[in-house]
Amino acid sequence: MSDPSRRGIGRRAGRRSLRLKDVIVFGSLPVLVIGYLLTGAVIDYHNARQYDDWWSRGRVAKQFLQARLATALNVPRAVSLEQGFDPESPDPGLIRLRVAREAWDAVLEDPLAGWGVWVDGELLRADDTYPVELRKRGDTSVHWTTPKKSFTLKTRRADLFKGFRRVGLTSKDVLPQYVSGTLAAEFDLMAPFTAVSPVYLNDRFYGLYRFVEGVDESFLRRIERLPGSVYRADAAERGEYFKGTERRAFANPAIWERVADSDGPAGPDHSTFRNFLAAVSGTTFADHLRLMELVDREEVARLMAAMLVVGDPYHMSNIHNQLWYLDPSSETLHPIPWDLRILDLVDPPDQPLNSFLRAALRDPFIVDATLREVAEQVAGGELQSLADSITWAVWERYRDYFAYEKLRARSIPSVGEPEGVLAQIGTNIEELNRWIADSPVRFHVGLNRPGLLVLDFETLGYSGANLTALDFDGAGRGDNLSVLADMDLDGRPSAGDKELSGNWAELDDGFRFVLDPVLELLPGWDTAERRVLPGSVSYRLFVTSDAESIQTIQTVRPEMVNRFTGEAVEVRAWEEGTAARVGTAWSPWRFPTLTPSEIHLRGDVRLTETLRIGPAETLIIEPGTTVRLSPDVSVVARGRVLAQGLEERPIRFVPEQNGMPWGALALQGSGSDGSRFRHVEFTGGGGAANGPIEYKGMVSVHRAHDVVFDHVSLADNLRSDDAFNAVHSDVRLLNCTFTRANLDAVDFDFSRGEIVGCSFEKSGNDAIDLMGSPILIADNLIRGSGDKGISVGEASDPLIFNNRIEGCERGIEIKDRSQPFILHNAITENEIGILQTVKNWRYGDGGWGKLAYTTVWNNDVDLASDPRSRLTAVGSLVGGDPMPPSSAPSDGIPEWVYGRFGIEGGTGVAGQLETWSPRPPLDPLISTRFPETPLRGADEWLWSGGITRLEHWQDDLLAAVRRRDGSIAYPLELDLSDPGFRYVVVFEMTSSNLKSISIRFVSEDGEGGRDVATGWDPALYDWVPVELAPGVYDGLVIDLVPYPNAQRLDARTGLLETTAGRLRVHAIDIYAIPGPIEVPDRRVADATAAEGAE
Amino acid sequence: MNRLLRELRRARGALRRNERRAAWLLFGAICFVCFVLLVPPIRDRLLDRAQVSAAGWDARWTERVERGEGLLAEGRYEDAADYLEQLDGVFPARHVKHRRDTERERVLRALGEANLALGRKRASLEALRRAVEFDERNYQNHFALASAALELGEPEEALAAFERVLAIHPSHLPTVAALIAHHFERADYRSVADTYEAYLDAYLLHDAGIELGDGIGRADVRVDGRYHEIDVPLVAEAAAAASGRSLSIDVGPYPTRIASITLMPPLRAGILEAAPITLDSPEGWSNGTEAEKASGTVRVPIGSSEIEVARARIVLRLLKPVDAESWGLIATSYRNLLEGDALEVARERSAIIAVASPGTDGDSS
Repeated sequence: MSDPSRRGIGRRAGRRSLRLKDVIVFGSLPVLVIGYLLTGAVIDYHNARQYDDWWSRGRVAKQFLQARLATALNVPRAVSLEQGFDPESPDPGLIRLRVAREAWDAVLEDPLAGWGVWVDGELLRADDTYPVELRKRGDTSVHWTTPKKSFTLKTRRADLFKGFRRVGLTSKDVLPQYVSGTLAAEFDLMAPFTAVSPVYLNDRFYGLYRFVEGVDESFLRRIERLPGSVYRADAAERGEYFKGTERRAFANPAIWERVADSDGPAGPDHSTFRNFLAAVSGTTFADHLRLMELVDREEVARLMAAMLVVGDPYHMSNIHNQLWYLDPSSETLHPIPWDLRILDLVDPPDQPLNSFLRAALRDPFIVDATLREVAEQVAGGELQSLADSITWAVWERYRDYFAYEKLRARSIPSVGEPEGVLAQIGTNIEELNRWIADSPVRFHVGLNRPGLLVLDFETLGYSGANLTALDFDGAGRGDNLSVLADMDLDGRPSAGDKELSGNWAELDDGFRFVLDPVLELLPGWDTAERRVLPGSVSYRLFVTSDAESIQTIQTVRPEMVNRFTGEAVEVRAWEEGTAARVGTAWSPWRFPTLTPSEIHLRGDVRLTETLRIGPAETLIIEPGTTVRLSPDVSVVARGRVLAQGLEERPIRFVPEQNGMPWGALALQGSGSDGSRFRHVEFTGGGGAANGPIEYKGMVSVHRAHDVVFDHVSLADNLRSDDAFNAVHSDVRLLNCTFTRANLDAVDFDFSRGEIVGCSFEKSGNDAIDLMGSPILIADNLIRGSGDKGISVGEASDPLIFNNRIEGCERGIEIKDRSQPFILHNAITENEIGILQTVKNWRYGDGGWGKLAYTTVWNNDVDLASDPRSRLTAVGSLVGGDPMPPSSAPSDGIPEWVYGRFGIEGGTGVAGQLETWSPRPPLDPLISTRFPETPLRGADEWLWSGGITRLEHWQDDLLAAVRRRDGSIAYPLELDLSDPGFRYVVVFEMTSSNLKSISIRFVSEDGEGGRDVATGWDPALYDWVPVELAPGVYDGLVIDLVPYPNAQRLDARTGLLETTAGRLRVHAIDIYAIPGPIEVPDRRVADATAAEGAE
Repeated sequence: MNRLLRELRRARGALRRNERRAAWLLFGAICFVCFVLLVPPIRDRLLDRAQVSAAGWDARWTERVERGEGLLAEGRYEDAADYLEQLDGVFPARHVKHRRDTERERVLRALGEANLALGRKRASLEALRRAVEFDERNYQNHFALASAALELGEPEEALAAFERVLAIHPSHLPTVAALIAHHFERADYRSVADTYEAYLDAYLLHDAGIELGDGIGRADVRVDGRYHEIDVPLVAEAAAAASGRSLSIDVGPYPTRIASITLMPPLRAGILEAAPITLDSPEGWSNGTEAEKASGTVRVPIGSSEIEVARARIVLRLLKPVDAESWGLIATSYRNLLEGDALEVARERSAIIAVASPGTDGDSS
């Protein structure tokens, strides 16, 4: 037998030696671990490299090894953090999903499988679940080869999530792109909504994501840009580009798709978009002018400014991230910022600007406007402060989630860190401030020939200069000189030059010409390289006089200041005879200037072809004029129209041939702002098409403001949908009559203004049709409409006041998140008095009428609401019954109602007012709403007792209380101590299953408030006014007492279950009503009432 | 058996006798392996090697695709079909996002072609339909399907596929030629004319380079046989104006006619600006010679001495190529439609080339 002591390693006395078996067992463990890590890293690398795209090309095996090691080392801390995560937190951005693990894994685990496959799941919100569908998304493998996948969430049409149906949840660059997307919105761009959301999957934290709204028709509806199409080009990665064809988006119309479309009756018309692409690719000045007609220069400048601030004018490139909205009301295109990163403006990526930006930035007006926008935004550090606040706010809110994501940073896409984001924005702003201050100008003065001085200027910096004065050294007075600008750019004095205006002044050693107005020397930029560099624009002036005067001039010194800072600019010498720099910028003097002119129509005018009024022209139609229009002939005015007839000599627009409709009277664009029509009669028009622009009304107003129609009648339009149509405009219709409209008499689409004192008779469809239009509709008589008296749709919030609506199929129809305030109307003898309903699922909710002092009676059905609609009522009569049924005791005439809308003479009695007069409206001191967004929750509210839920829900503050009393409270700093006012706080609220509600405002001196009647119908809201004595209030408390054993029938199980009492507050408005000061001392009154009750 | 047992016993005995030494050896080996794997330079080198090996290992797929295509090229259709079918079953790119997506499409197209040669209609169309399904944004997949369907007597499917080609690539001349032949066969002359006019109007840009001495400029020019004006800054070093004696315009493969050239001198400080130089030629300029066609360049001499130029305005047209056979059908169709004027316009906009092979596109690619 062998000696055991010889069989091991390093045997010590009293201890068992290590045997071969031990070495194998213990030694192989680290080898296996290391082998596992290395092999895994190589496999990860191999898997990632299968995609050979932007992300995978940058991967090496070492990174995967480091990722695995880091993940392993960080497990303890990650587990510790994860234990603190609460999927049931009422956080507004939190997304809690439940999916069948096998189905979800089957889609996610194999990167090559499951594309386009929707997986069923559930979205959990408080006590409720909503069916949703999930699908993996992403253009590059970063979105689907790491443990944290990007995906799309889609709800059912009936259950929008925070107002969105389809949401992209993106795993990479969460914080930087959230900040850049939010800043883009600050530049008044069509930026999709974005937020940061922690996502839980089957109650386990899955990752911190960037929540981004999809760009589709719902997006256009949300930003009130309907109708319209959105064109999209993404051809960067496999599966997106069209192999073997031109990949540059602006050079290939075939690769664009539409993600939202709005086609006219003739079907799709892409001519405007094709013209846009052709103009982008064009190189001539005429091409540039065509391009500028198709875009909004100011908007392009804002886009560029936003891109510069975040340092990324590159990612919306020639091959991807291109989204353009085509507005059919003006046939202009508008960029949608998408996927902006936060980059270093000083050290940009090796990528040129896209073709559109390069073409647009040849325009010195856009360059100048870009810098002006930047200067305005960064002035006073406001933009940096905003970036700070949004970045730190989201960081603080999700600090632990960010920490968790940082622990697995090597194995998932980076979510970003606030310090890096803000430092980069700060650096970019610093660089842009340098650009703003950079305005050197080259200058040369030469006596070219007797009697002619040639002054040459060339801007050399990012920023331009204003030429304010020219100082001439020498004898003489100067007032016999002329200063001319070489506007025709022929380089020599000629008839096309323009004399500059200004004042001459004597100096000690010469004289000075002070330009009035200053001469703008706009800058040019050079975008040929991968970064934006200062370019150049040259300008030439001539000073002419008789030869002797000129010869006394020894030198000329220009006085120039920076266009934004006002500082004197650096003037560099420009050597005689040397050439100007060659650049791509167009001279601003090439751009056409508009000369105002007038066109008069009088007497009997026959139009056999469409009359077009240019933007600088004014069409003046004399009283008594009759305009006879041949079939399909229109008047299309891009300039102002003044058609001011007299009562006895009205202006008439009539068809040349009876029964053959003429086209439309159309006001198009801001050039027609301020148009006036008085005592005008329109009959027999039929709408028109102006190129791709469709005019749906016999009279159509597109994107014009301050337009008034007074004592105008529109009758018997043919063919066209509407007698009158306003699109994105501001129009007042006063004392007009609308008779026998073909379909709708008046159609307001995303417009503002008012319809006052008009009458509508026998409209074929609706008398008034509103889409997204918060207008005033007052003192009108609406009779006999074939469909609705007033149709309030697409989130319109009009004031409908003192109207009589009778004999229509439906008096008022309220749809799709619209909230009209219906005050002192009489709605009678209709088939349905008021109908509240969902028509378009994209708005996520039905109608919500605010019914005040209105009578709805003697209709076949007085009031009908679907389950998705709500109603707030006060002092009304519906079918002879009070509405709301259990009204609170009247506090007299509600000053806040009439004051809010600027109405003098309110009676507080249901029905039309005989007389009233306008007065200045009384705006609330404070107005609080509770929108349901991923960004805002009920964070600042406190709760105690039996409160089980407190959050923003369907645009209400929802408090649920179960089993025992509870309170919610909001800390205030409310100084209402001016004794010259009465203070009224108005709550718009409803409740269910609550025994009592008490509202208290707490101050150092005591409390003010009232008890509130409870209700059972959560769809019926009250306005609850609370009067407060003057004082300083530091808290609002609402005490809730539930019915302890309230039960409800569960629709799914059919079983009774206990249910919570609920309070829903939609709005809180605080009004300060000027004297007389007869404020009941509520504290005393309540105390007295309480004693009485006892 | 006994012998084996004896050997085992002997080895075991030897191991027992030398267990300590073996343990030391193994321990050392483990330490060495751990050391090698943990020390970054060695580990990284190892990983780099592994990366290269992985890439080499992956390259086998390319070789296999080439082998299948080779069999097809050799006319061994049966072998090619069998081999490609097997390859199709194991090929890793199951989705277009995979880096070997084009190889997958090659496999499917070759499989379709092999089956077509073998007269296996269903199998051929099936393979080509799968190629279309795999990447419906690749016009070549649609074109392959259309060509096969036409050959196999499925004109409806062929026409639908040709339409999809033109939706993606409206300047694809072989498709246009095939459609024209199809319509002509059916005496549908209106469709022949419409198809050809749509092809002429199809939006196609050529990125033209313009050079004057050391100055260069670029412009996208429509290839539609119509005259277009371009206005191009000619920039030499440090944004200086260009100077030279001849202007060259890179027009790629497109027959070109230049109607006029205007050269704008730079503005000089204090000097009244010189008038633009307009170059006129009664015949214009073109790339008519074989040498010019081969170089894809039109050269225009602008004077005996160097001229300084800030920008050039050029009016030119790039003609759409059409193969002679198709042009014969097009011309006949216009004549049959009694549209002589339209024929003249079409002729003016076209450049007739010899053959529209499957590799010949209306664009430069």
